[in-house]
Amino acid sequence: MLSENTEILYRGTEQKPNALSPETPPIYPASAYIIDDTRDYEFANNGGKYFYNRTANPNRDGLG
Amino acid sequence: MENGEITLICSSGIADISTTLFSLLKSGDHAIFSKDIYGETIELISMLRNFGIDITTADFTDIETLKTLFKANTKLVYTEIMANPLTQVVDIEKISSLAHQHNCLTVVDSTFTTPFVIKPINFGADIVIHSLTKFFGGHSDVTGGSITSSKEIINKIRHSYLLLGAVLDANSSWLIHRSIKTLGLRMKAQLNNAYTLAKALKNISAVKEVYYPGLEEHPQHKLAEKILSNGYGTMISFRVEDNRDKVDQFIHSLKTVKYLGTLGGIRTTIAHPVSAFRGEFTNEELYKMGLTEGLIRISTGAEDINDLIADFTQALEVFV
Ligand SMILES: Cc1ncc(COP(=O)(O)O)c(C=O)c1O
Repeated sequence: MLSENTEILYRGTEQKPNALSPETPPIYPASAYIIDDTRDYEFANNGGKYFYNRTANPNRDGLG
Repeated sequence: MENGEITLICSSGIADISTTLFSLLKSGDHAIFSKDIYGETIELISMLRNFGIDITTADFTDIETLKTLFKANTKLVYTEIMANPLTQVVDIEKISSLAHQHNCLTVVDSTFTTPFVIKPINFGADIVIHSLTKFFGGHSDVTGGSITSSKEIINKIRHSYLLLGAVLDANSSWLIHRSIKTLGLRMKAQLNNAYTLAKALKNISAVKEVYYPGLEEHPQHKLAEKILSNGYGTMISFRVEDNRDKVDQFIHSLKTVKYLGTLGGIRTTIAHPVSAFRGEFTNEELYKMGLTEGLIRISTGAEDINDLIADFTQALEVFV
């Protein structure tokens, strides 16, 4: 079991699977996105998914 | 915080770096850059060369060689305090003094260290820049940068800063302003955790080497002791077996710690440096730089240290 101090840092950070279709797009302030492993990094780095806010951001892409 | 006179707040760390360099260097100038700096700053060097700026890169831990690189037209020396990912520490006092002997400005990207660990201006640096995206923001939810210097130098940079449009928006400024209030508290916890975690990693049999300036065997440990305060940074790298499949398994096995292309947040994250640099260098160059499949970098957060040690210990079992 994690200590309370660690728990506080992680609680509520996971995606909510039942909240994926809001009528207006959510704001994505995250400076970076979780990468699954080194292969996933390669995929992300080749434009396969978001991984660093300055490189690409869903709100900017929505606007652009 | 950095003991400068004025700070310009920029839209990102790379915006503060490019603004600083494009405002202080012009065609025909020469500049000396540490070779152990942020990857995109290295890419920026190619851009500067396209504008007719002559750039030499060097190992800044080798002061004797650095001394020989100055030219009549050298205008600027650029370095970070602690290199990514192998955590080499440079003697900023000697570097600044050398630069001043040649009438050059010293620019320091102190993102990895923060003013809680070192204030480069106190050691003679002229300009200190930060990616505020990292420790200052601290919660991986904002992007920003800063340039701190004397009034005189900032006056030379301000015009380009405005013309390049590198300013930070109000919302991000507000968020970072709020985060700065806990920077000291976060740094204290993260610095303490890094020290304990680095020592714990050394005792795990799957770990072949730990790179952390707080360890006595680190090549610049004595220098780090002399110039760093409150701790030795929160960045640790360690080496395990050079086996990419097992590294992936290790990443999957971590229960709380995540793999992220950033650092300095309140939650501990890891990165795989060779993946970050693969596109830019050949395998041979990477190997020479010490960047192999088994090298993993940690940005230590503020979790309970026992949880952190437990998570790394159980995940590293994939290498046994
Ligand atoms: C040392 C250093 N400088 C500058 C930057 C660039 O910062 P930003 O992503 O905020 O532009 C980074 C980003 O990782 C960094 O690690």
